[in-house]
Amino acid sequence: MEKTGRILIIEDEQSLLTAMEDELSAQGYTVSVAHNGEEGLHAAINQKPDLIILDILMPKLNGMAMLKKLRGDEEYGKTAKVIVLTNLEADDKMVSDVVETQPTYYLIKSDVNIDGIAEKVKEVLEGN
Amino acid sequence: MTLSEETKHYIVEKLSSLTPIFARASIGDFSQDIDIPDEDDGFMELYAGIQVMLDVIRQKIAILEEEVTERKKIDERLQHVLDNMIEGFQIIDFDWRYLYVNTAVTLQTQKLKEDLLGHTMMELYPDIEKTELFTYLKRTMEQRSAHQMENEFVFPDGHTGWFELRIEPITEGIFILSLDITQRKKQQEELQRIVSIVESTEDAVIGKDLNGIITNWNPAAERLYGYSQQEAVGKPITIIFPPDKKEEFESIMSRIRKGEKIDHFETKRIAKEGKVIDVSVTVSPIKDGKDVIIGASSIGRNITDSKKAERTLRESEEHFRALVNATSSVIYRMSPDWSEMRELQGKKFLANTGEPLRNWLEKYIHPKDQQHVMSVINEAIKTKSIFQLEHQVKQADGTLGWTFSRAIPILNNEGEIVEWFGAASDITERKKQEEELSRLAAIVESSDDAIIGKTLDGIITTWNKGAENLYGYTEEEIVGKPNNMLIPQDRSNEWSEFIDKISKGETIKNFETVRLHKDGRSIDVSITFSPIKDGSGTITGCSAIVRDITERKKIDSMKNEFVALASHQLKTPLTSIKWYSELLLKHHDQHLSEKQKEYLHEIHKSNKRMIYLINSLLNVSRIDLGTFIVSPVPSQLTQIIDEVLEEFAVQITEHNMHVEKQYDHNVPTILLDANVMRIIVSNLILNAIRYSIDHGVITIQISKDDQRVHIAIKDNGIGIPLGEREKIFKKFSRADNAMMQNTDGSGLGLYMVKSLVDQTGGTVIFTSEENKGTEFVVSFPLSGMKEKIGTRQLH
Repeated sequence: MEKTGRILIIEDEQSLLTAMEDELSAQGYTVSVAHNGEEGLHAAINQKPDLIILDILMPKLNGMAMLKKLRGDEEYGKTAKVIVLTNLEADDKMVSDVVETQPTYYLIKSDVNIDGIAEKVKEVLEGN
Repeated sequence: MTLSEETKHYIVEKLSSLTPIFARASIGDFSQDIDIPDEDDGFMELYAGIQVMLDVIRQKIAILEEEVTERKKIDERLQHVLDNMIEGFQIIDFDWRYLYVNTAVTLQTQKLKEDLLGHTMMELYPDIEKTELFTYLKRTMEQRSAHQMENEFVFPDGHTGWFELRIEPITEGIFILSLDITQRKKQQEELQRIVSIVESTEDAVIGKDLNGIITNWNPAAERLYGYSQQEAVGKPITIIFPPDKKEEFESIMSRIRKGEKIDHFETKRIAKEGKVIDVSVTVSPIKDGKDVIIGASSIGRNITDSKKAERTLRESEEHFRALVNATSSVIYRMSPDWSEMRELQGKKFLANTGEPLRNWLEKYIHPKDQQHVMSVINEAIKTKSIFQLEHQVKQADGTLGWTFSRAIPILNNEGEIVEWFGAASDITERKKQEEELSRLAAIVESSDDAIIGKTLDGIITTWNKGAENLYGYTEEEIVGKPNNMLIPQDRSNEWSEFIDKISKGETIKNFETVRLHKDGRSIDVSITFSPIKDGSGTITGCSAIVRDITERKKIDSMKNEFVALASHQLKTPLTSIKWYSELLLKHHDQHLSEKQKEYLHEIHKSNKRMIYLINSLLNVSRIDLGTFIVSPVPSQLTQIIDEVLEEFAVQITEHNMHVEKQYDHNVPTILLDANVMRIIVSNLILNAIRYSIDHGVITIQISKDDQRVHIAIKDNGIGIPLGEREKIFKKFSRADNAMMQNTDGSGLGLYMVKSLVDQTGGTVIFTSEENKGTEFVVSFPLSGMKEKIGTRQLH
């Protein structure tokens, strides 16, 4: 069944970005991408996607800082659905204030396979 | 002066009994008769008679004149006598007035004649009527009776004097003759004291004349010799001389006659009942007032007991030597000045010396000690006191050893040293221990770790340089103070918890905590507390070895960061490989040959293993650093285990294995950290799979008893060889047969299991038989896992 929804993937690692973009596009989602936090924040506010997949360790603006700024945007960002997808762990110092930023989901890349990501995306969007 | 003739006569009479020389002269003067011739023979005879008469008259006149002169002379002489008498002489009239006093009275009363004469006794001595003396005076005055007495008179100024008094009635009133005997009384008292000392002394005091006849015999003499005073006095002193000592008497007496004193002469005497007594006697000449020797006094002391002891000692010298032999390695005898060693029995410690040896110093004492040894010896010789010293000696085997040497001087009767008797013990071993101890002390002192001793009350007793460096307090500042100075307020409970354990003899190892520096800053420390025991094993205090881990903490933190970052960097490409291999298999399998698909599966599987390994390393790092979190929540053990089994389902199938579940469904929900539990169980299951045989069986049993729940994971695989069992829980350790069977293992699995179980309050044991299988049993209390505060989660 063809899936609908606009997804923004913010990920600096091109190989991972491509893999996710390919899979989610194949599943029928409209996928846009950004390669760093700054670009991602800009795209998010402009495009107002249904879901953001966000990496943490990125140049220019890291994922956590970007998410904080996004949550400051009353119109869209405050309630935007975000899946944080990283190889850093939730208890790492960089993501210690991850709770404040209220990501919808938090996934460890190496623990999850590509099907797992798709499932999670479906779950979040349908839970709307 | 007007005295009646009667009184004069009386005085003279009384004086005669007191001062005979003067009195006799006076009596002569008074007793002279006057002889008048009776002649009447005619005219001539008449004339002659008249002449004679005239002569007689002249003579009579002359005699009368002479008599008057004589009377004056007598009065003067009497006056002179009275004033020169040593006795006081006073006449008191019936009104108690002083009628006459002589010079001696003024001396005795320290008053002038004018102060006394005409005054009453009561005027001069207001309290006199209360005295015993006055009752006699009054009695004499009223009853005309005479009295004689010794009386202590208290003068108005408080001074006292003793007087011998004669009180007699006379026509004028009473007459008092008084003699000052104060000095005599004092001497008597002194004598009395001496007598009482002699009487009470334990030494026999005997007086005898020059013929040896006993004149004095005190109670101690009675006790010592058995003769009573009555029996002894008047007898010759030789009654207490044994027959073989009779000649002693003459030699003693001849020395006494020469005025010599015999001091502490030890001899024998014989008591009444024939018992021979060892005595020490001092005999001194007794001289009269003119320094003429009239006898001898002897003071005898019974020394039988000490003599006996001496004799016993001599008799038991062999026993003594035997004892010394048993307790000391060496006995030796030295000449009085130590120039010669007379004998040395060295046992095996030192070489024996049978013959007198003059070069003993060179033979036995190490050159560097010789001077010191000799100086201590010389001091002992000088003071005739015991010599004792620890010094090095050349042992019989030629090596250097240590000895504790003591020697006592043997003195003769004259108090001269005749020999030194010494004993030396082999303290080489003790010295070695002492050296060891001092080395230890030096180690403690020089240690970089703070080494602190304290009482069970926490009072600091020792404080080394390391402690000074760590805490900033000097030894002087802190010893004697309570250790809570070093403990932050919020950790003050720690000490009481520790001391409970310490008191039970437990040791607390590498406890990481925070302590306070003198300047107030906190220091990260790791402390090992151990009980301090005394010789009897009683715990008397606590030692703390404190290590500053501030640096280590920093390094740990950096290491942690590095591991996290490194693992992230490693994981990103691995994730990429994982996802692309998944994408290929999922979307493009129709374009791939079976071989290509097989290869892709292999890539995917290896990649997964790589990720697992990295996670394991990350976990181990967190376990080692102690930074991992354990947050138990009520969990179903069966559910966690089933989830793990699900993860391993593919591998179990691949190995053609069968899992047998034996779950006791009465096992309640307990507090577990699912993450930690998963790591424990998955590592054990993974091992069971890896080291199984084909078609193997894994039995998983969940059970409980009164106190614990048990998870038993049993395989029928290759087992753990006997020699490997010790080390299976060690990091990176893998059994030989395990390496042969499977090269995948990291050597981290069982290390993690053991570490996690230990740190969460559980236990893990195993039983194994090679080629038969292994069973691991993990147990937790029914209360579940212990919570642990940390910063990192485990995978």
